[in-house]
Amino acid sequence: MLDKIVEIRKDLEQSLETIKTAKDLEEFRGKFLVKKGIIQKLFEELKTVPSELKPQIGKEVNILSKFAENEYNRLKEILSTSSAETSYIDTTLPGRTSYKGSFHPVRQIMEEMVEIFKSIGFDVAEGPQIEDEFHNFDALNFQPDHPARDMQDTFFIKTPGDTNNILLRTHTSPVQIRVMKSQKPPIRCIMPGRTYRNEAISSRSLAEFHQIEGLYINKDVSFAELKATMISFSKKMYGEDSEFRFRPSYFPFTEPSAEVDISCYLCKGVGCRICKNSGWLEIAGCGMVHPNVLLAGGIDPNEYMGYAFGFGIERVAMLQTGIDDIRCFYENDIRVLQQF
Amino acid sequence: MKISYNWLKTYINFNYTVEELINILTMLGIEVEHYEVLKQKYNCFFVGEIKDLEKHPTSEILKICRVNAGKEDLQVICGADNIAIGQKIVLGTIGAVVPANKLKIEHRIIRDHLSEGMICSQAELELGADNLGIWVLPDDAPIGESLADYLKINDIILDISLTPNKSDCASHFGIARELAVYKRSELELPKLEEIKENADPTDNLFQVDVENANLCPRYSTRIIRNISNGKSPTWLKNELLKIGIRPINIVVDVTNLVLMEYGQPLHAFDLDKIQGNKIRVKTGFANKKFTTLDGKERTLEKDMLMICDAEKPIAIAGVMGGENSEITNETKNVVIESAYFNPTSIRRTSKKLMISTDASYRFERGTDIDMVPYALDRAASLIAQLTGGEIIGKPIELYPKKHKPLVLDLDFEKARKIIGTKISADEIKSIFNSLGFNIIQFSKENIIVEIPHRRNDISSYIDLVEEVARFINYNSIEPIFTSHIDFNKFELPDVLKPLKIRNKFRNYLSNNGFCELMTYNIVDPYSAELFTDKPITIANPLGEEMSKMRPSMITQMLKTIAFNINQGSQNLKLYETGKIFLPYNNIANSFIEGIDEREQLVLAICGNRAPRQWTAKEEPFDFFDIKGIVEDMFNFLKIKDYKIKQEEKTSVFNSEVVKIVINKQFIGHIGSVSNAILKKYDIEIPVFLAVIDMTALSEIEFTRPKFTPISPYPVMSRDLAFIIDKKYYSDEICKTIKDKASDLLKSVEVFDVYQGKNIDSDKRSIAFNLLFSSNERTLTDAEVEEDINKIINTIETFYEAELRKA
Repeated sequence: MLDKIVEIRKDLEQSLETIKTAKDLEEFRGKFLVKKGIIQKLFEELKTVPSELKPQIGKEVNILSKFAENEYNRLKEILSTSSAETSYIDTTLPGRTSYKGSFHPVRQIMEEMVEIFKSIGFDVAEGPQIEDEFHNFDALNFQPDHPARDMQDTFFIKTPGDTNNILLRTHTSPVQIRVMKSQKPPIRCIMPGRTYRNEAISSRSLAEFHQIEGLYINKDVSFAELKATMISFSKKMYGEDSEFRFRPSYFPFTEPSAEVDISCYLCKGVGCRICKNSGWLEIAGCGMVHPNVLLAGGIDPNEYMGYAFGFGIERVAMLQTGIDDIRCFYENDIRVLQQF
Repeated sequence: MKISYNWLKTYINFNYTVEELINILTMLGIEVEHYEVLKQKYNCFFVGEIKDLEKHPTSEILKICRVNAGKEDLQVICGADNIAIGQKIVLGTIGAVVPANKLKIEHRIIRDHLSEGMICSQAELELGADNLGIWVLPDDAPIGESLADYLKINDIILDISLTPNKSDCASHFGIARELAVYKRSELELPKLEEIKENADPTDNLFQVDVENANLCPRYSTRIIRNISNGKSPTWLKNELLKIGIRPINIVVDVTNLVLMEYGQPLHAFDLDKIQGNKIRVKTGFANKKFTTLDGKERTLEKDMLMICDAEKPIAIAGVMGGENSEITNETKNVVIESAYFNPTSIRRTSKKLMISTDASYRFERGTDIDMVPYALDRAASLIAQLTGGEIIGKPIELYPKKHKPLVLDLDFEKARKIIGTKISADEIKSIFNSLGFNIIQFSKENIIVEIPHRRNDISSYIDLVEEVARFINYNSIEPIFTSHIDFNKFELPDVLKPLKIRNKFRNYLSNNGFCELMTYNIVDPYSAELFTDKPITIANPLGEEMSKMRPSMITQMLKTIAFNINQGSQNLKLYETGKIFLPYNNIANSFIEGIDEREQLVLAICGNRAPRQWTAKEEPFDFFDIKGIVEDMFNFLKIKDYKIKQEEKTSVFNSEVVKIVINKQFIGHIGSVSNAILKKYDIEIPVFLAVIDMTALSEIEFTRPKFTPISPYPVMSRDLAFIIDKKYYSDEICKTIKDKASDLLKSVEVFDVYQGKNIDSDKRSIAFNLLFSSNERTLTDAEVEEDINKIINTIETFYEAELRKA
């Protein structure tokens, strides 16, 4: 009987080694641990053993039975936990995602520019989009009938007497006047917002678009400082290795006036389609605030001077996103919006 | 405006390459849009002769030509009607690029026959307007000569664009003067040959009378008799052709030449067509019909300045001549006009009649009154020389009020301060010297100069500062910070500050799956009239469909949704912040009277709760999704004390709509868009939308939340469900529960709503979760039971409700 027990134990140990899966384990249980299994049979055989041998053999059977049960439980534990770890899970399936939110690309550029200017001490002001002729033209030194007014094809708002003096602002510059009238110098702020021109809509121009205007008035502001400001802003916006060119231009509200060109960052100044082979991209208009404008804003031009500048936002957004049809910004196709 | 490199060199000596010249001009504020090297442009174009001609066997129109252009004969297929054997023509050979259409000339098989070139028209070569047939050259044109050599147009043409302040640069001489200042040299007008003035007593009878001297401060004429007009000599034609002007006849060509040389527009009249030997300059032709040189009939207005003879108008002053006094090849006697007209007057006339000519372009920007006699003499002597005519007598000139030059004083220290750089007094002096400004006084501190009439852009010291900055070169000004900023001093009024909540909403929404839109503020009438009877209207819109300022952003949102659904995107979460425009009076913060400009936020959802994916069921959004989004957002942004109340039906929502109210102030709507509106925008799925008045919301002050201590004692949770009449709103019942219970009750939430089986059809079951707690002690069951019984009693009696037994 003891020999048999030793043999069964050997068999049992061998069986244990082959158990790899829950199915193997189940077979093991079927063989050894069920009511009609080998171990139960041993207990039955024990009844026939002479009583003087019973305590010794009984002890051995018990040890074997405990061992089998313990091993079964141990393996069951291992296999049940490992089954979750080894069973087939396709972790490459997509995660449980939600809608893809996004900020509008034009808005992103605008906010980025605002943040840079804020970091160099500019406050942010906004004014109305429906303006009067005084703020949009007269106060900005546009002479009546001057060809400069032609540069700004204007939408007028219908008024009771068809007065044609209320209009959709053609630039953000009228906010300059509102800021000047609202506070004493020093004034240092930027004025982002929507502007309007009575222009046919095409891939290059829209009747509605955005500008960001800047104004600084103090006792000792110079053209050299305007250059320094434009350059330090633009390096943050376009990269430290950008080069700049300031060339004379004309705006009624600044004198001297300049256009700011940046070395084309697409072709590195070699010349490409975007920069029309000039190697330069026009990014802003700027100049020293005209004394007449200071006067219109209630500021004494003998005491104060200042500079102003303006960027077109869609243009920057086009250059930076690679979108080459400006209408695309206002179509709001989510397949486009979600790219940014 | 086209500028010839060679012409510039006749006025000022320089050796700049074209790239250098462009760079100099750019840095002087004269923008060069592009340039053409004519030799390259006309590369591979030659003078050729048609040797032979035969009809193409399979075409009615085409001809097979044998053309000699110097070397061996070439076969060319040509379709022109006016082609004939023996003609001298312009042949584009292999490698040439046709200027007008950029077509590259290559070996081509045209209907089974080889063509080795192209016979060109003037229009194709951009050398004239004639596009009716091939350009037939004079018989003496030498075969095989390159076109550029034959026409003597080995030149470089710059296309420049001028800002409105640079009217003094609208000519070759004007630009040469800028270059002279750049070189700090002085430029003088070339000396004219002395004019031989023939006396003819009969012409003493010719009179000029200017009635409106304010509109025409200077008017000069010369008479040339016995001319033989006709085609201009080749050199003159070529000079004009290369700068884009079509040659007509000697008299007209000379006036155009002088215009391009000196910027002074001239006009020539046929003296024999002038009635009464008299020119009158006057206004007052309201509603009169007048036919201009281009053959078009124009209707005159009272204020338009006209040049007239004794009886009738013969030209629109400064804009265009009349057909009735036109110069022709048969003209024998001419009157040349050189004048200065008031820019505003010319501008208005040109705008009203919608005529823009080389003359009106210059007059309306302001010409140089001092140039009037010089240009007249230059033109008269050249016409006399080329036509064999005689200049009769002295010019007749009316210049009653001589222009008094403006005198300006420039303080050097001020100039240095504005520019922000050191510039010596001598340097400044040399700039004004080169500019030809008469220097009245010069010291270490300042300079006083006389501004010549041509510089009508200069009216104060600041314009002189610009001249200094421009000629020392903007790029030589070192960028430095010169000012001292006191950051404490800025204080913008609230009305000019951007709304603080705008970016908070934007950040929340974009971070929660919403795409931000940007749509037009100008909308169609229907979209506007949904919200107001009197939308703000554009007086001169691009079209009826773009004629109103939007009173709400909802319709643009719906259009965007429709567009995206059309593009195949049905599941959408979108928002936009922007301005709306309402016609109200007496708004405290209104910038423009009668117009209330407000900021709005609109957000919309449609489609399914989750984008289609393997882990989510396709469940469509409903009203409670948008409501929950708004509530979550308000809670996140700590917008307190908002109430959401049932709303009556509105113009865009169906009955599923609520309003948001804070302290009795209306803040916005949340709802599902009515079917009628959806249909209008071709949307076939439900759209849920919230619209928030950001201006109103930002006028409410929200203080930073104060800390509420968290109770260390356990919270007791109880659920109660009532079967209750449907007419009672859940928020009303919640409020009653809160009112009735002791302050141990901390919150009441609806967690289940059921209607259907086992419940009468006019009733529903609402289940509430109640949380009780105290900051001082652990609550006993008995305490909570007391409150619960009170609540049950109240709800049962007040709402005729029945407690649902578990």
